Amino acid sequence: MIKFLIKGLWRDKSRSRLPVIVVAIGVMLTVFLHAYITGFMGDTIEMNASFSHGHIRVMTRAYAENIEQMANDLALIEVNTLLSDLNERYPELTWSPRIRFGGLIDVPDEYGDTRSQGPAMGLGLDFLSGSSKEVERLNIENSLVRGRLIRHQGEALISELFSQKLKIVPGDQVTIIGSCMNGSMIFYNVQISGTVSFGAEAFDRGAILVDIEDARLALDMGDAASELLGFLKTGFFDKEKILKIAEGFNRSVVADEDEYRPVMKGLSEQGSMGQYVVLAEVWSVYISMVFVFAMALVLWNAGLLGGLRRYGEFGVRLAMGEEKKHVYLSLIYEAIFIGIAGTVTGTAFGLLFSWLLQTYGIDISGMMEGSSIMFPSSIRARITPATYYLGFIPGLLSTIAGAMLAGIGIYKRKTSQLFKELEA
Amino acid sequence: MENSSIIQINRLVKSFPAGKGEFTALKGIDLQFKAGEFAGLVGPSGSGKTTLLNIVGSLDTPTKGEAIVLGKSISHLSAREAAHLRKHELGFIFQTYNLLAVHTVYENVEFPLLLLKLSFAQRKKMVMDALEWVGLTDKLNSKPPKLSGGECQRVAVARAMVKKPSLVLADEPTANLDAANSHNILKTMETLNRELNTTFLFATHDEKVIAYLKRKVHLKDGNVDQDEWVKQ
Amino acid sequence: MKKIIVLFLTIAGIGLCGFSTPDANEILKKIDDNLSSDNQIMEAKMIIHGRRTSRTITSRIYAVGNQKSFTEYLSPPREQGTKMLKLENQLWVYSPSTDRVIQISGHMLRQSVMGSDLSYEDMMEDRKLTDTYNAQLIGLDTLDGREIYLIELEAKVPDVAYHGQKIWVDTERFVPLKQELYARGGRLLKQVLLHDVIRVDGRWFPTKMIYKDMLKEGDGTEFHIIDIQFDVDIPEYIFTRAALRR
Repeated sequence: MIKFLIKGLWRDKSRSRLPVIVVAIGVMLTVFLHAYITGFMGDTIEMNASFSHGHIRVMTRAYAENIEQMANDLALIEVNTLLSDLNERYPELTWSPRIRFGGLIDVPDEYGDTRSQGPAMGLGLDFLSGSSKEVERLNIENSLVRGRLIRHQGEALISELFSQKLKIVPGDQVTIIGSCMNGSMIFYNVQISGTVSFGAEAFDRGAILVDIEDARLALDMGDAASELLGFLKTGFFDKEKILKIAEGFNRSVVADEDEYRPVMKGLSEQGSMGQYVVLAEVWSVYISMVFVFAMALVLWNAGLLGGLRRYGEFGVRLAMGEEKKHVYLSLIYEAIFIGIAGTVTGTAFGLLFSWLLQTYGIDISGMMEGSSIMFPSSIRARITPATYYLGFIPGLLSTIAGAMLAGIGIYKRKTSQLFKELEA
Repeated sequence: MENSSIIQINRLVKSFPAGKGEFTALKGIDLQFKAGEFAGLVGPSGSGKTTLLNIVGSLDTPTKGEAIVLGKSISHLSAREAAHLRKHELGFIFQTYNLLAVHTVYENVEFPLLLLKLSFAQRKKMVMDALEWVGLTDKLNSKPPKLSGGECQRVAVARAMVKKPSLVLADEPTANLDAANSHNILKTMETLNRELNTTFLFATHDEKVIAYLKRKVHLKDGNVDQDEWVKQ
Repeated sequence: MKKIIVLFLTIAGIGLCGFSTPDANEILKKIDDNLSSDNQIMEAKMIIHGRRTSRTITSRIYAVGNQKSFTEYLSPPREQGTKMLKLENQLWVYSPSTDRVIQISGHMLRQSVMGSDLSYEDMMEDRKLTDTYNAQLIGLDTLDGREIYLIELEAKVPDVAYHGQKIWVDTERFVPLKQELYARGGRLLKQVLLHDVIRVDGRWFPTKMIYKDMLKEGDGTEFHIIDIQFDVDIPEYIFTRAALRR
């Protein structure tokens, strides 16, 4: 009997291949859309991670308590030891030491007197060691407006808007005035190698980027760093994984009363970014659910029509003495079979397209020119565990629900009525 | 069994809701059929013949009165018992053949046997026998859309006969067939009636069918108008 | 020991016997007489007790009146050669590593000097107390075994760093032994303890001061005067911007 049903299912294209294709397309769209939304929302998160939060951030406890003050007197020291320890303990993460500092940029005139001056947000990161991915991570090369990247010690990049305000061009020398780790006022000369524009208001208003070794020299922070940003090697923030790492690390140092002991904070534990992560999660779930619901309606309807179309066949089978329950169950089994086949196919294709978009991305930097919002320069999808199972909701459940609803007719209608539909 | 009553109908009434009131299709019919009969319900459209055939086939239930088929009261059968009756004892032949289009001739005929959970060897023999009765052993692997109307109806007859049921119910079996094919199929059924002693009950207004009947029960407006036995 | 007690009793006795209590503004003037001079050269050591480390910075300071001062940092190596010039209400800093002379102005004046508990503003402010504050005597007390007047100061000019002060003044030497500096809202911003009062050229002068920025963590900054000379000739070229680069 099962063989008979499978033969029927296999041979009747409108009963098998077509519904499988419909389900597969629906599931594929659902899977792809989910990966796309997750990717786009995720990229905004990644951007903030790259610039300031990391996927995870290591700071001293005291620094973390006043994080917005960028207080380098509370910075991490003996960073190299800490780094090798972190690298050993967390092979899934790469670490980037950063120095954040506030200060003034002072531009001299020909006599060395102050010609112009403005408050700056400084960022020291690894440009020159050759082993870091910071330039790539911050997409600095693509953000260059004038000049070139930092190639030597003593060079700096400055935000384009800021350079216009200070009336400086690449090649000019400026003095950074700030305070060092001990609180002393420091003066440090750098040569502007280029200007950058990141499309982020806060950053473009007054940022200066220097190599971390320059920042260390200037701020008397040898073997120190404001913070260590950790990034998952997968390139994507994974909330659960990161929180587990942070919790584990913090538990291991909790006995240490020293306010300068390092603490780890995941991206989602850091102020407004935490709220954004929650918001992004809620939205991606919300949008995905709306789409899942819409696809569910379509597939449910397809299942329903597929069932209704076969009332004649059911009539014959009932006349032959097949029980209603048996007919009904065979309809459900068929729906399960179609649902699974369609969902697996659709998920596979959805994952394939998502993977392509995740790996290669679509460059939208051209479209974003002149935009004042900090958008990722390319659209990328993002495959998460949910991408693998989300398609089953419309693909399997809706198809079955449609078949179940259609099948109710078998019970509701009198057998002789099924015949009338059969004869018609 | 030959002279025992296979169908016993007592004061059978069947009404359907129609608009605000109801329409009474059968108005208190009394009838009896014996095993081995080759009988027909004859009458124009709306006379109640299909309604009566459906009740006898346990596809519908009486509103009032009683229909006892093979000793079982149709009114008192559960859905499951009705299915059991159809599965084991009844065969149906429809005006539109109602073959499963994606299945081969062999598979269509085999279907009722699958429900009886017979072994492959048993099924094969019975299917081949049935196809031989209707002369279609050369079309085993054809599918219905490739067959002519006459061939389709012969497949339908084979399907109805394959399990050797006690009773075959045929509703306008020749309505879509030409004269030659109609005679052909009726001859086959007549032979099967004679050789297997299967009871045939037709619902028809086709003269070609009527000519073959050994008993003609004329229905008119839900009543038995005339119960006519053909002299052998 | 006996001598000290006798001295103390004598002083106390004089006070009790109706030795007239001076007017608060008079006390202020006497403080100014002690601490202000036409010119002075001072060598000082600053020990900054930060949250994590302590550092010592030495400097030489030349001052003329309360309008001009020039500071040169002598150690540690990182600070060596850094110079500061104050002319009236302007402040320039020279940093040898950048070879830049930069004027410190606006909110930067509130920044800490070398990470200490002193701000540039604190260093700039050397107008006489009598010129900037009205004083009121609010009590007599003892502090570390010295009789003191407790006076309360309220700014009479708008451009002072601290709106109010409380000063514990040695009744005999007219040297502040403790100072509390308040913001306009009454919030305590800084506390200064003055110790090791010595007699130099007929003046009483505290040679150790402990500054504590109350808004900053850490254990304060000690300011030791290693050597101080009053009324010496200081060449005029010291107080020029050109001298910063020399």
